[in-house]
Amino acid sequence: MKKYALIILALAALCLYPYFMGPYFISMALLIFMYISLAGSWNIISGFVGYVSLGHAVFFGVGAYLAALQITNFGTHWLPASLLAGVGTSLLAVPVGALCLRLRGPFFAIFMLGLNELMAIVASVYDNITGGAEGLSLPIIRQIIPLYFAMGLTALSVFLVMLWLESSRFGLRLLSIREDETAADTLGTNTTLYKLIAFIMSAFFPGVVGGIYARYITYIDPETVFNILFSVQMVLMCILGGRGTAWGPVIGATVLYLILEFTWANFPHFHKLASGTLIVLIILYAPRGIMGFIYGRGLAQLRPSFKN
Amino acid sequence: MSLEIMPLMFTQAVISGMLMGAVYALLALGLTMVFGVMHVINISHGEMLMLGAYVSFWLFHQFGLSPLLAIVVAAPLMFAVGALIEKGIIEKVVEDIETNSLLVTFGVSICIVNLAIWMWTTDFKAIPYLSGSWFYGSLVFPKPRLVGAAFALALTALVYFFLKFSRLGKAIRATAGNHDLAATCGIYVKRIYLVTFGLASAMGGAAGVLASIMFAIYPEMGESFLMRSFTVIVLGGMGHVVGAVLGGMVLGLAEGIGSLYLSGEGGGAISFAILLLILIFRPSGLLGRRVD
Repeated sequence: MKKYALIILALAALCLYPYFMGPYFISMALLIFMYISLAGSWNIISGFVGYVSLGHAVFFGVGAYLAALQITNFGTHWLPASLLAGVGTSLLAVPVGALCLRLRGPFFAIFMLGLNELMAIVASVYDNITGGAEGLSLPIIRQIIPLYFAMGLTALSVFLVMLWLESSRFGLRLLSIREDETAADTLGTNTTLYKLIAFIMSAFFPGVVGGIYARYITYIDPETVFNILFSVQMVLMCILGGRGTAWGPVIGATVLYLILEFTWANFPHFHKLASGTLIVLIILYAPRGIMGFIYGRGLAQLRPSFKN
Repeated sequence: MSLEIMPLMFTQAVISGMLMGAVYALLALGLTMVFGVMHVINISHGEMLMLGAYVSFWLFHQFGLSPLLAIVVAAPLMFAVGALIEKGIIEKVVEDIETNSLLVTFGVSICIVNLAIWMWTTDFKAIPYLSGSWFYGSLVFPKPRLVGAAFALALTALVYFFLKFSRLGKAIRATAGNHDLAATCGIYVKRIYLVTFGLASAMGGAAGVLASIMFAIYPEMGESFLMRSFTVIVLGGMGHVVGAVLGGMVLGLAEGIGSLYLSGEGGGAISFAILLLILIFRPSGLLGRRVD
């Protein structure tokens, strides 16, 4: 009972938060929610299934463009536009996943890196639709609080999906693919199908988030939404918190965002430099992230999702 | 438009493509060697090219050293950089699951690029060396490309013969075949990893010097080259040395011919399209065995 009371209390606090805080702190929470969703999405395919995506920002960027195009061309409300953008990125994930996930090894990682570049080029070349390098401007927003709730709900959904993956049969199948794909295949797991489903899930949320972000920031161009920094951030936040855990991306995104916000925010290149260095250091010295310190050795045995 | 493409233009495109392909092959050879021997996909390989290009630029502007002589400086220097990266970082994850080495080299790549931006800004730089062209009949051979291709082919051949006939080269190939067995035969596998990574970085650096006389030099130039070398090694078969040369030529050809029909940024998509087609129809590459 105590546990549920705590959860309800935390959710209530998050619901009341925007009504007591200034716009700066609302934006901050909104962006933390965004990074939780992004890091969590990366966690689904790369943390649970073990297929590292180095260009996951592609779904964020495509989602941002899909939503922005609907809003500017058809005057759609941002909420259905963002959801449709999520559907769009999921559809994009089907052929990409069907092609690349058949192959083991690093094909997938580099393919995603290239796909992100390709989509950035597509967005700048077809300038009669996307506005090219000049980008797209959206009308000014009057209310930021609905965006806060939309982003929060997305983060919550991603978190629930990860919790489900930690304990469900489906999640266990994904973990078995990560641990030993040949063995999983031999034991009758349809690895290709499960990988594809996980990939589609991890593509849906960045699309939605991208749509909401486009509405929040009111201006997008290929340089910003397909920026490799988003991909780097997803990787870093997830491995900082702990790959293959539900709490990892939540903790990693929150901690890292707060650190970045108050330190390197004004030095973009140091920001990237520090992010790259942190990735190396974490993998070398704390590959299980913060959750590794929280769970310790004993609990790691109990949680199958928690290895490496 | 296609009517205007005369046989001459086509031959010209084939030639320029092949010349480019030689440089792609040299770069991709390093990537494929590291993968073949260590099972590490080195995302930071493109950055070795970028650093090599800056070394060449720096030597040219400080000492007026010809970029072709700069190879002599850049290759050993990049060998040292590669060996340091291997010893300090890669060695610790080489036995881990592939995911970790992938993430680590990704981190290294981000570091090097942004360090370069910090030190040298994002300005485009160029080396005014070997401008103009040679003519043979009505065919044009741009000097930097022809010289660059000749050097790339020579270096590739050198590496090939080194791997084929030298003692160390044989040890590298033995480690690529089976590192446990190589270790039982008395090969110090850790040192082989070090040498392989260093050698691959040196080749990347040399390719960078050659690229510096053909292209603009800027901190993020490595990424498009990394993507191309990846296409090349997927084309040739991962870890396959001759395949890398063949793949480089095929990609160069495709880009050369493609440039007749596509302009500017569309050209960058050719490498990606080839990668896609190979992944769909022949994932093991042109010469490789099945991967999975």
